[in-house]
Amino acid sequence: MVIPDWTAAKPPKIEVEQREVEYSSDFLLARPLDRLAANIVDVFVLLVPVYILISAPFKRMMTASFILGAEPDFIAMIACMVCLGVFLVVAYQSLMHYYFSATVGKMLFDLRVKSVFRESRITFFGLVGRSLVWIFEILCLGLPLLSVFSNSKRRSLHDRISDTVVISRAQGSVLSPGHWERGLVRGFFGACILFVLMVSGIEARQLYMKFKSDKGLLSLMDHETSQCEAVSRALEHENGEHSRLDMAMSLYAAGAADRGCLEAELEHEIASHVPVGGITYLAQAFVNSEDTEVSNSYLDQVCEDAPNTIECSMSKVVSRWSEEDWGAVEDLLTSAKKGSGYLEVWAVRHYMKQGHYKEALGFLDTLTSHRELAEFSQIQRVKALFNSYAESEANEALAQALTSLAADEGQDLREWMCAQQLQNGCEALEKLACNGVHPSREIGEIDFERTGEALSKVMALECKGDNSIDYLTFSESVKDEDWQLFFRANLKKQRDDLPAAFKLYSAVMMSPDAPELLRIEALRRASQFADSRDISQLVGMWRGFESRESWIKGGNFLFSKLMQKNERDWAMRVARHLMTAESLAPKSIAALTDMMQAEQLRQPASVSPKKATQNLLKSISDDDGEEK
Amino acid sequence: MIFPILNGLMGWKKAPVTWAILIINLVVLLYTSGTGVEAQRGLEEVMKKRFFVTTQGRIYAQYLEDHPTAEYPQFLRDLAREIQEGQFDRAEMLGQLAFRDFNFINDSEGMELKSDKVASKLWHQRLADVRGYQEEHPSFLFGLNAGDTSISKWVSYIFVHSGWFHFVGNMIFLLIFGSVLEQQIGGLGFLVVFLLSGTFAAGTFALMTGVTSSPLVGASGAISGIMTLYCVLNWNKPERYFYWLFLPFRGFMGFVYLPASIAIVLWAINDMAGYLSTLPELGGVAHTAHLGGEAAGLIVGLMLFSLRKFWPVHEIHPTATKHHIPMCVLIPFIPPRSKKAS
Repeated sequence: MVIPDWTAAKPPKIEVEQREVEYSSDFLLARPLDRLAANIVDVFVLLVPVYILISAPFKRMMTASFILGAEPDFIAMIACMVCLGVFLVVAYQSLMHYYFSATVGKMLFDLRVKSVFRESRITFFGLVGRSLVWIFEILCLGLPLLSVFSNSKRRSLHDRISDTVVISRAQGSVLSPGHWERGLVRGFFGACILFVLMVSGIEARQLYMKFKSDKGLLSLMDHETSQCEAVSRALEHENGEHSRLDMAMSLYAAGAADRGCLEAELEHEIASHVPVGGITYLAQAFVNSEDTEVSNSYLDQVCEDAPNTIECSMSKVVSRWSEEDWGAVEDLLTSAKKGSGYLEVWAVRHYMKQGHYKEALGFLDTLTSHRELAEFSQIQRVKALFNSYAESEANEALAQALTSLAADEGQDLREWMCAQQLQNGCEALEKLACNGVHPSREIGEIDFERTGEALSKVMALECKGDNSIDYLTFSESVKDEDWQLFFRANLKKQRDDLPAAFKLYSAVMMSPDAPELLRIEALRRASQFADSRDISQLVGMWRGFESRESWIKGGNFLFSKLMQKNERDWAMRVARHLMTAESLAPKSIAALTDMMQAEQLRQPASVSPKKATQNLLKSISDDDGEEK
Repeated sequence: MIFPILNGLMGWKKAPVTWAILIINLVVLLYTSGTGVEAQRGLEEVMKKRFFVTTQGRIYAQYLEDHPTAEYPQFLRDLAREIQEGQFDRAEMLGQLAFRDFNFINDSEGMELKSDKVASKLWHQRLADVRGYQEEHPSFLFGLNAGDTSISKWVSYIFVHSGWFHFVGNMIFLLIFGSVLEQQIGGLGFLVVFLLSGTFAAGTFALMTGVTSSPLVGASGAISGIMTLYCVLNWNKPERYFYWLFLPFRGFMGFVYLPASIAIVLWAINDMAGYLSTLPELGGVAHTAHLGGEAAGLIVGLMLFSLRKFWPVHEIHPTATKHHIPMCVLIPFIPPRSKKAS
């Protein structure tokens, strides 16, 4: 920048012509477009090729450091390349302007850079400053350069800071900007600044929120480690009985650690050069579960390396599981050695999935010594007890679980149970599970991703005896399609359009993505008003339920409703299916027994009660289709 | 943006050899694209398998550690050391690089990943698949690769392209420069220069980058020679280029006449920068082959220039027209690419 001698008389400024007339053509202002074109020539014709060439070795080193993950080297190379670019631009512009008053691009367009003061020469360091400011302007997305449209001598920031002006020696020149031009550019500039401020504000707020939450702060400070933190935490309470990989397998099975965690532990074990055992191959099978061939090869290798071990049993369980050979899975689970933790977790998951809650509870008892799996055990115990109709024990287990589970987990479990208890009547609102559930009239307060929460809140609202629920608003506000259908069905039912309501509930039941709790609830609601024509359809849909849990619960609801409606034949058909799967609820068994006794009274005295029951069930199965 | 127009495309009668070369390339492409699709798909499928590539990376890391005296770049050794120390996330990268090491692939028989029999077995199976696909792949059949460096490959690689984009990119420049040059030096001369440049390009590539398991294919080395020769012979004559200054105003788009020699400088800078900035183990574009072709064109051009009294070069140019103002922006436009097929 030129620092004028304030003590001396200020040199007179160049008389820049205000109009493009026949005044001195030496000092006509350069057209902004010519200046832009000159810059394009300078940058793309001269600077970019030279820069590409001289920065090539740095780029090569940068690639190598990137591959090696050498962050400091990588950053150093980027810094070198940036410095090189800045140096090239500054050197080129300063030298060319100093010696020729123009760069090559400017020469092509007959533009020159002059001092704004008459008979004053621009200093070299003034030009260096000018180039640096020009780079700064480019880095600001070129926005400061827009002042060529508003400044009276069409001088941008870099011109003003070095007391220069760009003039045209050719015929093409331009006048000082008019009022409209200045106004337009200043308006645009102001809008840009506002936009930048707004975006910066939002970004700053997000950054602040990220720092504010401990999790975010930790994630920023957290460095990648080769070991999984969940496993380290679990091992703190261990007495060294289990290896890290064993622990990772158990936590992975219980859903307390993700696959990345298991992979990290596996890699740590391989890197430690410990002798490879069956557990390593088993973990490899899980880590590579997306590649069936690889996963199966590892599973096969487990038993080759370590036959008659827990790992071998587990590998066989996984193989049979993938083939959906449930009988073989159960045989293996029963005969396998216990104590690993992960095998028991898989057993619990299997029996819960199959609806065999007693067996699941048996395996849960064996997990009591695994403190790291306490959370999993408590949740599964509550669910198993509740699903096996031991409601009082389930309530006790829930009370116990709520004292030790994390707040989120506890709330999830509570809402899951509350939603199902509410299906049996609104008195459930007084029970422990529904204690923390508050009916919500504001749809924005309900998280529909969490089905238990959403359903319990909606049902609690309905229980409050308020029939004026605005299902229309609910259906319009919720994003999930299945929930939309559910609310529309409720709306139709509210308006007594029962055929339409039945169709919509059916759509929820048939939807492949519908949450299981919602599917059961749709079946329950549809069965309340289904007429004799709808029942066949309803039973058909129920039989199509893929989840065992939904099938059992839905079947028992259906049975009790059919009994209430005195649809004896249909009720017996449903009962037969449930009995075959040993899934008839105690309440349903009682109702069935009552009906059997009544039936027996109508049978001739010579027929025994057992025979009468068999006759009854046989008569139903003869005209019923395929059994589930 | 700038693009050479020269005298436009010449027809079959004016440039028969140029068109014949194009047709041969097209026929080869049509033939190989039929037979090569399956092999290419198979190769891509195998290389996408993360487990296979990661295992290969870990085995390659062992191999590099077991061969401390062999000549390998330091960064490969560093990468291998890091993997051996347990940073397996780098194994995928090393696994990809291993495909180019002919010695490793060739010696793979009997190699095992210590402590993982399953991975070793699966890796051998997949590697056998890769070899099977390579035997059917046109790039490996006709391209210059470390597995086969016979003389025929030094010529046949010129006529094979890895795909339609590769082919079209090269042929545009062949037609623009070749059809004009053919009229200057004759059909036979043009053919000799084309083949000579291609062979010279392959030699330069072999010397500077080294022939790897990844084959070298494409006519770009030969075409670089043709373009350079044209520019040398017409170094001071104004040539027609189309330019566009990115601005939608009058005068910012049109034709400009520039000396042909400018283009050589820009191409050479581009290829030299590409060569200097790319690790030989990673590059997909054979910059050294381009440089070789350009060197061949330059040498032939200088020879013809010095022997012009005995072997005159035909003048085909119209009288130079006056320079247009504003002149063009010479973005170093991308010369034809040659590829190292993977």
